[in-house]
Amino acid sequence: MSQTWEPKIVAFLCHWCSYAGADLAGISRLQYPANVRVIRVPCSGAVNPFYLLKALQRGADGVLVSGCHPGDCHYLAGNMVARRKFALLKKLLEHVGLEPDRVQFSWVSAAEGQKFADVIREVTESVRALGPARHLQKARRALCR
Amino acid sequence: MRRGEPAVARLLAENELDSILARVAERNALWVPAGDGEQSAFALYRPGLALRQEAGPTRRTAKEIFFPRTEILFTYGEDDGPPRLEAPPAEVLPAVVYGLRPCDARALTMLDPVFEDPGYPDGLWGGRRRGATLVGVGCTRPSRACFCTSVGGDPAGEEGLDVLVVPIPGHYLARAVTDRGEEWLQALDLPRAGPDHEAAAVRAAAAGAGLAVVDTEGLPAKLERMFGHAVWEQLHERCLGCAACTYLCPTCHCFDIVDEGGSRLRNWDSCMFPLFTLHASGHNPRLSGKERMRQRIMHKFSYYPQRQGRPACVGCGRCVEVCPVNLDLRSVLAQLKGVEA
Amino acid sequence: MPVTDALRETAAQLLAEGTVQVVLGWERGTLPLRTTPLPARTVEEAGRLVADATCDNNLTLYLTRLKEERVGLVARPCEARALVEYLREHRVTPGRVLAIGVPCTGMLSRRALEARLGGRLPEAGRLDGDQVVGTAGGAEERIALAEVLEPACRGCRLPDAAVYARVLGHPCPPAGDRHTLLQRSDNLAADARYAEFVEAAARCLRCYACRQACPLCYCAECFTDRSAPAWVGPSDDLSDTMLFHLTRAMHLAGRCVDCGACVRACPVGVDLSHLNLALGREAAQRFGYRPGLDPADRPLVATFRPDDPEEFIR
Repeated sequence: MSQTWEPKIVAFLCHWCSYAGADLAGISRLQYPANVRVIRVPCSGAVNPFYLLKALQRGADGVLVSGCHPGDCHYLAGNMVARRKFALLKKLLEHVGLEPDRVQFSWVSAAEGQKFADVIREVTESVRALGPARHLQKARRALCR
Repeated sequence: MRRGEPAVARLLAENELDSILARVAERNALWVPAGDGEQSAFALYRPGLALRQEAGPTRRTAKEIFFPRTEILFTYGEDDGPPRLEAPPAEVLPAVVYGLRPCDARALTMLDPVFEDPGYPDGLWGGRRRGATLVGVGCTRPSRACFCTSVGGDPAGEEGLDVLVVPIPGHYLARAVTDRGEEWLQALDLPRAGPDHEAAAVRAAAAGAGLAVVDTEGLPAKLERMFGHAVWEQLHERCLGCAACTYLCPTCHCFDIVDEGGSRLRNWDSCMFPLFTLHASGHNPRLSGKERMRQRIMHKFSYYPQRQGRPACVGCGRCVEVCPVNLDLRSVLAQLKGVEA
Repeated sequence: MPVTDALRETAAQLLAEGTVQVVLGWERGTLPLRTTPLPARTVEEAGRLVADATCDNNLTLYLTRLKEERVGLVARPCEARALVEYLREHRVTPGRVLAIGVPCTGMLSRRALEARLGGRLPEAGRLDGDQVVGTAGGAEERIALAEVLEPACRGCRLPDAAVYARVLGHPCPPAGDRHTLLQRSDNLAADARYAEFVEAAARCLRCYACRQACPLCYCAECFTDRSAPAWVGPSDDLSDTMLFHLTRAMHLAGRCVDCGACVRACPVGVDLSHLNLALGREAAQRFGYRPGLDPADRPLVATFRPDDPEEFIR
């Protein structure tokens, strides 16, 4: 592993809670690793499991989905439906030997700037421990058969 | 080799085949049939690889050697400096294909006019084909779905081959079909076969006869009048619309071209997919399974014969074996032949 | 009365009296021990119907392709479970399909039979009671059907009886726990499981026979067919093929009725039904959910319980 390797993490944050939590972390000048690339989504329930697989295929070392705490969903239950989908996705990845820890989930509210910073730190370190993702990554085509 | 002059038959001992193939593989990309049943396919030879010895053809076809499922046409980019365009490198070693069935070789000759049309020659196909030596093994035990003799083929046919090998007890009897084959055989330095061996080979070849009979007489001309026929409505009803038949067909050759990350790729495609004819506007001229199945049959048994004088089918029976719903091409042809045009 | 005779009689009667306009069933195929789907529309056609261990296509997928307003569906537990999903997902209107339950002794596995015949395809074959008689290489062999059953049949489950309009005999064999089939992969290390997945993906030709043979893969446009932009690349790239199979499995989570049609359809012997099975087990263990049994159940991933476990969420 190269000395300069840093994990790339794609974070899908729900607009109403976790994205605002990230904002609060920034406003509060809290430090957290710069390894995360944020994609704002309307709701954690709007995150298709395919997005996570695609992110891993296209070069992410880890993926995080973060939404509102159960009961706080702006759309009432999007996060609780998402919870089922992501439990299944994790199990599927584990079943085919695909490092389930590369996909991570959290509930972070708009008031939890500190928790957001903590989650990013934990996720970054756990993905760093796994090393660069290779299992699902799309290979650059070599010019030979 | 001059026409009319019978080639010298040579004898290849069964227990020496592996060492001979190992020698061939030193100077060639040697493809051999390997794997069992539905996992059988042509693979690059390596010492100890068990050759497939089953009845009938391999599940996957020899066309893949010359027309792979995915290939790079060229790559492009501008990483550092001016934009660049690179052609894929030519294959280093000439290919030798050992053990393909006469139907497989015949199928390649049906693809040649498609890829080597003088107006639009396909360099990748042509480059591989011109360098390749094809050593076929006569079919002494055809499979239950084979019907090559109904579409002009022969279990011991030579068309498209450079060398034909016929298995006889303890040996293979090898005979060159082309000059290239004669050179190839001479380089192996094999003993000549005796009259007993030749007689055994004739008997072995005869064992390949007795195949299912499908009457395709006059079908191309009849199909020309059947584009709007009601029979298509029934014929396609069971078809699932998968590409098992086309991807495992030795003469199907449709492809799609896509760009991916700086590479222009050619991938197999199938007329059985709705996406195959979907226009950018959203319009699809082959809207249902009826039109798609009609296209597959028409292409093989009407359009291709109009251009090339024979159906684009070698009767290998793969489509019959792989169809998930047992929609048998032989019955489809019989039905088309039977209805009033 | 043998089930095939009873089926022909019932189908002919339903067609003759106009109760249904078509009966979806199977007839003898062209290869030994094969059948092919038959939409019987006349009394004569009904006389060709068969129902036995060689019926290996799931007929339910044809329901929405038929134009008729009243359809009889010859239903083994596989078809019936898929029909339950169709009703739950409003794929068919409840009154349109008249399910004729037929007894099922389990399906003959063509692959298992081929293996028992020394790796040869039978040139001839027939069923004789609970035995299969196959001829390969000129030699006839008799094998107990129970020894060459489809793996999926070992976990067969009967849906709610209300799904059937008619029942011709006892409809199902007693079955065990299909999830025990996962024990082998459970005991492998993650790397070995990954290696097996890669091997399967490398063999896959992306002909989509698995998808097309699946009664629950019925999207008008599959995500793999989205080309602008392409969700999944169409080449032989391994990651794209893995994405296809993973996403297909996710789309079938809580919907796969475990009929095994995808496995039987594959022309090159790829069997990834264990992905569906692993998700099926998770649905059962984590959410107490089994698809294909009761049309009144709420779909697994369209609902939730407030106390669903969330030990994996930070």
